[in-house]
Amino acid sequence: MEKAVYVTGIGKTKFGKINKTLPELMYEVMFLALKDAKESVKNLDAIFIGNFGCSVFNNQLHLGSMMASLLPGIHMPIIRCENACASGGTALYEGIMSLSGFKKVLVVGVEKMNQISTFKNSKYISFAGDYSFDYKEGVLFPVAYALMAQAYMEKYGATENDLALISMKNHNNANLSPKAHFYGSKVTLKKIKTSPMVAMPLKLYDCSPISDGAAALVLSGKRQNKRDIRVAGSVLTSGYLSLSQVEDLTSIEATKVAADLVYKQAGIGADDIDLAQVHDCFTIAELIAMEDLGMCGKGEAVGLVRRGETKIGGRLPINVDGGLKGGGHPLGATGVSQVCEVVTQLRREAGKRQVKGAKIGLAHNVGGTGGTCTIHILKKE
Amino acid sequence: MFFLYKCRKCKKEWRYPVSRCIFCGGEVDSISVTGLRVKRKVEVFVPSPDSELIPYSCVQLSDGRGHSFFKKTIKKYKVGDSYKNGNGGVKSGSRVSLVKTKYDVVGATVESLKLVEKEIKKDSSVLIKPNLALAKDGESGIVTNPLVVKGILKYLIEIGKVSVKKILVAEYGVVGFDTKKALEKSGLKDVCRRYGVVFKDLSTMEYVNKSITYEGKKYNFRIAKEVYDRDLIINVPVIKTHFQTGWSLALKNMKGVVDGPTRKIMHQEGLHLPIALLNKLLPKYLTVMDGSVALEGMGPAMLGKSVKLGLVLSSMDAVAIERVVGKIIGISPVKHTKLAASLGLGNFNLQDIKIVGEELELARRSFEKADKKLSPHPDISLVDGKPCSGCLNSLWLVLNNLRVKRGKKSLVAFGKDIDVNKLSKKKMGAVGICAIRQLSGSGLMTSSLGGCPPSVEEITEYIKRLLDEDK
Repeated sequence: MEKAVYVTGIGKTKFGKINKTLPELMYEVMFLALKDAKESVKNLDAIFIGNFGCSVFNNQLHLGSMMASLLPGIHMPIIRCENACASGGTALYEGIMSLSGFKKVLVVGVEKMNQISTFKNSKYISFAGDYSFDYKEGVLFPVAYALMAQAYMEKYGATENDLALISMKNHNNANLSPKAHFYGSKVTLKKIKTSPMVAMPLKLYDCSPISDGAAALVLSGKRQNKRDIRVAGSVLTSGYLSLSQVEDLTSIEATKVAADLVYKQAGIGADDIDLAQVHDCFTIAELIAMEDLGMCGKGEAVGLVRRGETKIGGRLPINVDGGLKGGGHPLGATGVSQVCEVVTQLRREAGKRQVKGAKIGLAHNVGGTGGTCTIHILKKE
Repeated sequence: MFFLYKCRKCKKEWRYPVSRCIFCGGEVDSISVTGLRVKRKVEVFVPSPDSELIPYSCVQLSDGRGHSFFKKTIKKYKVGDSYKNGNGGVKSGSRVSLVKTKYDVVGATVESLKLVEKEIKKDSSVLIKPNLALAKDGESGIVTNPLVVKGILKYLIEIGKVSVKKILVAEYGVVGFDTKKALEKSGLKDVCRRYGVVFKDLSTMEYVNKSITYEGKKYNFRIAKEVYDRDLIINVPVIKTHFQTGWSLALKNMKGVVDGPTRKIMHQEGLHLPIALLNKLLPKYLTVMDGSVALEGMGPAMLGKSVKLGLVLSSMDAVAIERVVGKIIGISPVKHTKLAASLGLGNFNLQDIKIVGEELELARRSFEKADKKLSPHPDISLVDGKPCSGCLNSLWLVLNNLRVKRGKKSLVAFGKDIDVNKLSKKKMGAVGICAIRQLSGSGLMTSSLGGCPPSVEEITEYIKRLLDEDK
């Protein structure tokens, strides 16, 4: 990347069923990130908010103004970004772009989903796909990813057991991450395999949970202190809204295009990545992501999983804090939270889940079934 | 039911209806996709607000040329099966097509007409009769969506090669309301202009006398002559609940071909029987039912709630199509539908109806019925003398517009069918000449507003005076 961009502060709330309101979550995480950055809110030039469903989950729009209401007397530009589950990654991308004019910005990702029932949630989450072509034809998100899972299994011989291994790994990692949705939950392989079927072949434990939560990053065009981590690559790509328009269900085109671009931008290859936080909204998505990100060839991701290479301590640790499956998926917060984890790892502050010697990390955030993809690469200097 | 949109020049494709290519400027054609087979199937075990019936299957259909579509189904498809439109059932009997509009109401209308397989000869003269009851927006659910009429014209002219000169769009809206304004407000005027098709207000045209005897009584109607001069009538109602008749669908929409005085008599005679008898006097017609945006609740006008139902249905059998719509919206067949069936106007039994297109079970969406509460104003109660649409719609419109203006509680009567003996000596006002005639001499009428019907402005002033009486 031509222009220097640093993450100088991070903040994250607990993910899960959180008894806090939308403004409370935003305020808490903003506070944490600014404290971590040792920065004053008055020094910020703008705030970018990643949020998907405030209108349907919370009967609230105009989040920029809600944020301004949390900062009395401050009138800086505050913009909400929405790109489905990639809203957080998009807000980050926008924040980074803005540093060509601004000096310091805050990026906040937030979602409060548990105010309404899972039944209603399933409809609103489906707005991330095409309402008429997908949702009205019964294609909820588990169904969409079930179709992808079937296609992948037919083509590459992956099994339900392979998907269960991914789920197990992420739950184990979540138990090392105190802010994860499933932190402290005893999840066994048997529990995963015998969980209720949602959409064949995906079971309950193949699906990420419905979570509340927020995450934030302070970005600066200049290095402020030794803990700052450099953003080496930031890319956003778009793709079809309806899965029905995708020819190859075993791949997300927007991810492949983004990966090519971001590796060029960062001056690295896929082999240089020490850890990756990928978008595992469903277990199958983690398999597909590894291949689309060039971490292995087509159909080879299953082998990495079976050999344990994606565990912490393995050749390529994936989703070391539990990912979306174990860590939780508050839709607008996810993309920001992924970068928070990468930064924590590169700062060597991840405790029991620390990836030893990590220098380059990747955060991969997808909207819908590939309607949007953001990839960020961070480097420890 | 599945469409692609393809540029003639550079061959780029879209799923959303676009008319011109943004890449090369070429014209874009709409293509109906056929020959679909099941490529994949997912059994779904979790319900959601629009898919409460579980388990259901979601099939990925492929045309073998790289195009896929999704379909929710309760049929037992296997991978490799051909995708079949329709619900199986009878091979003969009345055919009703059922198509989802999604993003393309015009395309869906064309498809619904193709599925009903009604042969239309090139030299046919056609009358299209939409619902333009009031001057309302085309997507209000109160009038026919002009995009449905556009689909019909596209089918007739581009596919059926019917001459534009032989097509007439005609309607006579609610008595006392301006049909020409309704034509403009709905957007139908632009559609007619675009195709070069003439619109006429039926109230300015010739009527003929027709009569029918039922159970020893003779019923007279004055019906637009145009109806008998055409080879084909295409009735284009919009799906609406109706506080007087339960619903307003195909049979009731044909009330628009009778003159004003006939309509008043039909109201006075309770509507249901006259509607059925009227349809007995008409030539058999094709119905294209506009369910793109429908109306539920306190229909058939402003107090109803619009619903994006997203369907178009077609049939040569008006009774059968009403039966199918009733199943979709969860309302039992109304009296005039049953009467029409008893007069031999169509198939009432679902077993004798072949539904082609979407699966009926998956198209269902329960509608709120029109309840019996008459007045939209908290301080004005109504005595229902079965008024015609003129007084009904005008008075309702005014009471709705004035509902936040509070004042003296009053009773107002309208319509001809007022039983003075059952009124418990309550004092009341009277709106419209029918009510005035009924109440004259009864000693109950404290104020009145004449007219047939009185204008909205006159009714507004009258109601305001009633509300302000004690001030």
